[in-house]
Amino acid sequence: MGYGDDVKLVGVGKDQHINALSNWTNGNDASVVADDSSSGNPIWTQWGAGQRELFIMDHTGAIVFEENITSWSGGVPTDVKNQIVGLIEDIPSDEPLFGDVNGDGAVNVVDVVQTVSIILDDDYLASADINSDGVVNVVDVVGLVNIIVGT
Amino acid sequence: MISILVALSMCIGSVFAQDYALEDLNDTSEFFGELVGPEDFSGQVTLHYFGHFS
Repeated sequence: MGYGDDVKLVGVGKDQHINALSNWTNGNDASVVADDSSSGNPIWTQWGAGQRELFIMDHTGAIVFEENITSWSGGVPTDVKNQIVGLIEDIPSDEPLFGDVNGDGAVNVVDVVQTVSIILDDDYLASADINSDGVVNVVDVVGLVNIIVGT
Repeated sequence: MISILVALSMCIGSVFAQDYALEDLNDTSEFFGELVGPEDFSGQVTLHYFGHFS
């Protein structure tokens, strides 16, 4: 379908089962990570995830689907496939680099300064609209800082 | 004002409701050995499957 660049699959396992890792990594190109079982699998806890649970995020990072897929013995249901295709088609075609407000190809403190200036001028710039809600405000500054500090 | 905004961001945390940054263990993934998580794929649709490697 040609959607490969717009959708990303990540498998989130538990490192207590690391000896079975090859069941997931055998020749495919999906990212596979393992939660820290010795710490109580905090990522699983944070997400409220159970065994064989699938979460789908749209291009803004919002969770739009959550389901235990144990019953999907016949593969991905058609309605879920259609939902994923719809989400992909909703991705803006010329989405700017999030946070690169001054367009220099990097996201750094200069972009924070620029974003604050946009807010003070009551202006709008798509690349500063980090949460894509149609306005540039303090929430976008928070998002931008989080991108810079890597949280 | 920036210092106030930075301090505010520390209080609020990530813009992503759920997030993680864990090492990609798949040696055939282009991100093998790197920390990956939802924020790394901003702008894409992402599927996060939780299971026991079984």
